[in-house]
Amino acid sequence: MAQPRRQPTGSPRAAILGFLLRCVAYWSVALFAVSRLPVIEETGIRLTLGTLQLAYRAIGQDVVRSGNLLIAGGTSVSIVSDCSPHVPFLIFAAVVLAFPTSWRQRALGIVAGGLVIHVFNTIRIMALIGVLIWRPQWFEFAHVYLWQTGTVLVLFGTFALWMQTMKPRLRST
Amino acid sequence: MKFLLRFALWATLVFVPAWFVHPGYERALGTFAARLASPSGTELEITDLELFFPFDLGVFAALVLASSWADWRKRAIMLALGLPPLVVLEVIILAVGLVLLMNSADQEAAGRFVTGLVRIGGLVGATGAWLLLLGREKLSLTTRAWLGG
Repeated sequence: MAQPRRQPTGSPRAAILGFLLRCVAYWSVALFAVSRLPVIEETGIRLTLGTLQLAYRAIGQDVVRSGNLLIAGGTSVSIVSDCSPHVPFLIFAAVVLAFPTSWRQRALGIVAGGLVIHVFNTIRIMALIGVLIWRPQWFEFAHVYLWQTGTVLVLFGTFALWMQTMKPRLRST
Repeated sequence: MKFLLRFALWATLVFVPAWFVHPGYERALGTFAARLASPSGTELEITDLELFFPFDLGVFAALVLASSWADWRKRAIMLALGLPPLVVLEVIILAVGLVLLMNSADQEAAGRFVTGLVRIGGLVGATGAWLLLLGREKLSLTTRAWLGG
């Protein structure tokens, strides 16, 4: 005999609100950690610089690194805090941690999401360097556009894909 | 996936006017936040601001406009409901940021905190407002069950 489908308890609005409140709690912790531990930002910048060097070498482009400065294609960019993917990653990680699922799924989401965000960020900076070489007057426009719209798209897309990998955990009524 | 494509399209369209108004908007926001944050009897003058405002409002508008499961009237109402609190949130973020920067003994840590607050606050405010107003309608029963779990 088929089991009746169990329905969730509580209103969807309350559930979403609870989820958002958990997100805010995790974001607050992340924000505090970023401000108190400069190593988070520094690691993000170092990782970005290292990956950019690898990516340019992979496509046969000469690249020189001097401190946080990257010289490629006749132009130079300084990799600063905004160029690091640590803030989008922390936003994403907080959402994944706040989502009621198993710790295994959360770990999978954080690792896969971190990878996707890092790859997107590398492509974003390479695109910006391209803009700087060929259309420098468009740089600021492209920089803000890619940060805001591109980041939200990637975060939404990655979260949606992560959710596809899960099966629901229904509550008993 | 279709929603993401619609969002990308709307975000691009909305970004253009936001780009042209952003210098004046940031100045106005900065002036207002400085008035709120300045200690009594003093005046704060902001000479240079680099924020991602009002692009967060553009992200919210694009999310609402891309929500094709709601009719146009509802989308217009949600825009009207969501935008004013987001503007208030921007002012609060900026005012809190200024107060922290003025009062913190560790300027570097405060700078990192404020940068993170501006970045996270803008994106999270926009997506959170959309999720509460319209996005939740689209969440499948499965997701709702999960979130209720």
